[in-house]
Amino acid sequence: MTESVDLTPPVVPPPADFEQATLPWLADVRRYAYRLTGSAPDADDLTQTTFLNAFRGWHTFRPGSDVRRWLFAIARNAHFRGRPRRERLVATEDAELESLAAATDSGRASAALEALERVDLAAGIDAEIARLPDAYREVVLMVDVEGLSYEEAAAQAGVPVGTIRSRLYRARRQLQQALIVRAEDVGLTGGLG
Amino acid sequence: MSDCGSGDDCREACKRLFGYLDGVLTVEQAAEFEAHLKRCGRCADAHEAERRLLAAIKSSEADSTDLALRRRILAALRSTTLPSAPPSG
Ligand SMILES: [Zn+2]
Repeated sequence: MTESVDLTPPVVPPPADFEQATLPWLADVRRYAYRLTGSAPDADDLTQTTFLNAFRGWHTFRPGSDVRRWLFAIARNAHFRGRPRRERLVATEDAELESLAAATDSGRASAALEALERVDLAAGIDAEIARLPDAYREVVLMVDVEGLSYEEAAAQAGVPVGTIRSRLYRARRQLQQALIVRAEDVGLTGGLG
Repeated sequence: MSDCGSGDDCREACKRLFGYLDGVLTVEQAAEFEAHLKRCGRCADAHEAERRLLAAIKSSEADSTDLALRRRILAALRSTTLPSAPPSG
């Protein structure tokens, strides 16, 4: 032992690194948190929890991987952890996909297209994602926002791939319906000139 | 072209719509799907609607940072002590 100061780098990367790497994604994480919680104060709280959890787990971050996706996954885990899984959605795969097909088929397509042109999609989509049942919201966020494959999402949710697919399709269908309703409301109130 | 909206081809196409958008169809299935869209305006509309919906879901950027939230989080981070590194002597 010498008297020299200890110059070995700390095991945990210094906070400055962490802040530099993660803070540019603060607004994106906040938006993601809003999609999870559906309320501004809850989204703020979840965003803070996400950054604190990320800070504590910074040593587990694999350098070179996607910081933003890493933060999204932390937010999602923080939100769903400890939440009771209320809905046990029974999926009979083929029958479900059939009925989903039928829903698009019945002259909805042009209505949907028109609706998507009329509503403020960016604002509407966040609120409607937040209103999805937990199991659907989780899958939409994993696959469509975080970009996980069906297989990766299945592993994380602990359900078969077919269940992921049918939840995903149902969730998207539900979002589309909700946006059509929004567009109809806009039409009724003449909200958009 | 609207007469094909409820045919078997359309049912098949609608069933494959999300698979197509997610890029999980086989090459043959994708080609069949695309060929159907060329013939069928209704399915082409359905495809366009779903494509836009998916684009909206997938867009996850946010433009402005709430400065108050940023300050709040920075303060929380800086008052958090990490589990300390193993003592190195
Ligand atoms: Zn068709």
